[in-house]
Amino acid sequence: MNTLFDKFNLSENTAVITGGGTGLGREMALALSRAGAYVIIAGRRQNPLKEVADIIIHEGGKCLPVQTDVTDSSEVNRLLDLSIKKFRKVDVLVNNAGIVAGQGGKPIWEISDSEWRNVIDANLTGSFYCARAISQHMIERGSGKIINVSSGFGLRGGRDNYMYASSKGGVIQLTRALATSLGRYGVTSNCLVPGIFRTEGTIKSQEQLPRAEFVPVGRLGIPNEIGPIVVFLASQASNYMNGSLFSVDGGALAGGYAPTDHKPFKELSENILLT
Amino acid sequence: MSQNPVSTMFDLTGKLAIVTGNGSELTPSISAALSEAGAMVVIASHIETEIKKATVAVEETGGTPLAINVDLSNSSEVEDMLCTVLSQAGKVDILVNNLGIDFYKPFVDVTLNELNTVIDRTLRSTFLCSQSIGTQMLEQNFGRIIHIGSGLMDRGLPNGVVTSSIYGYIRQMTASLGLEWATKGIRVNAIATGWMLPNSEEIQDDRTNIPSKYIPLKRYGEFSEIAGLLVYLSSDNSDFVTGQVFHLDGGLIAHA
Repeated sequence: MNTLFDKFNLSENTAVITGGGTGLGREMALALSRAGAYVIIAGRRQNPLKEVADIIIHEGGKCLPVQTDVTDSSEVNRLLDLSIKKFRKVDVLVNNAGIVAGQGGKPIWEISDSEWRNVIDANLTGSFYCARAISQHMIERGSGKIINVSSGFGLRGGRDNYMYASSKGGVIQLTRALATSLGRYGVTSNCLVPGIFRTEGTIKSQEQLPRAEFVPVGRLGIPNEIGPIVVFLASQASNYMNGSLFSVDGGALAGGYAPTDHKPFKELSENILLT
Repeated sequence: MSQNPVSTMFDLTGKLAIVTGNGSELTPSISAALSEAGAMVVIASHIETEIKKATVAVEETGGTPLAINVDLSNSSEVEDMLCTVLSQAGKVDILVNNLGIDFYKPFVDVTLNELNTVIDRTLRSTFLCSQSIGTQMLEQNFGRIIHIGSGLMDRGLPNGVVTSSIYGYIRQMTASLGLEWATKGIRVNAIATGWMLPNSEEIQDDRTNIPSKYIPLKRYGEFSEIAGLLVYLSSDNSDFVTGQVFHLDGGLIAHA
């Protein structure tokens, strides 16, 4: 384990990923497997889990699909108990499960209690349940990597975007609380902040999301672009990263969702500072 | 090189990287990491000892660096440096602006001479290298620019007005230049380092209480731990990442 590329290698590592059957989670699961990890894929629906599992097994990887609703703490506890029993340890937890589409898009006075709770539970409480369930196991082993998944809306606001922005902002703060609390035991926590990728979920909610022309690089993310960064954060190559945010968003957070190719309104010769 | 799929995710074979230096202790580690990932490395600095150390570090990875002694605050010297690189390699894929400085003094005691020297060695040099090499990258429609900064990109510090102001400049340069060249195939990002030491021996010998008091991981970083993030940001696989600052600090910035 001396060379740089060895440090990225996940052989002998066990990774649990929630929401691993679809969207970015599916790509993360495939990338973790290709980097050598045993992958436990959790998700609500059986069919997408089976599809990802079939690909991984076909490629020669090892995986275990486990149907799980992360908003139910007893199911989360069962998922992590099962993972430890089957693979003897869990090195990496990727808290990816969440709701993208259907989280609102209406004025605050029309949002019901259950609509609010559904998104907060799926996006924030589920990550808390998973981190809670695995924390002592990782502390006992003196190592572990928790990777949470937030969004640009976790850092910025958006019109009629209440539950999604609040839950994703909560995920960032959950990451910082974990990082500053579990770091002393050798357990690191970091947070991915994906921008807009072309996935099933984002296509459904397109009416609420900026179009590709408003992403600075001029295109939406391609789902498999999330793979390498997850492998890096899951690997020994990121051992000194803790409590950090990783925006993979085509430059969106560097500015705002504004039209690209901004030109100055005045010619340079008219610029007051230069006269 | 390993045949594991991870090597293809982060492989820099065939890439040309320029690493600038201003006497930073990190220069050898940065140069070695890029070389180990497969890149041909150019070391550009006005400090001979820094060039020598970085050269040795690259050679230890099996690479043959091109060392150029250059005053990076002088525009014609920067142009000459680029010409030398282009005559040998024909392109520049990666620029690591490793031009940070540690300068701490009560604000009222900072002389104008000191301010000018610090600005020349950091801000002016970063500007010139980014503009000159960036122009080449625009022609290529490809490039990766990585600024090496510190936690002072996001935090203030008493007696660090000059240093943190310059890091603030680098931070905003990262964001604005990242946006300006977003559709040109060039990605501009920054690594904000925390408290790091050269190797595990020095970390063990450290008798300060800095890690236990301030760093959530309870340890200093090793210089070599910059490699993973640096190589990721240098690779083709970071094409959807630009204008961002990434903290590498054991959790320092996450803490209140």
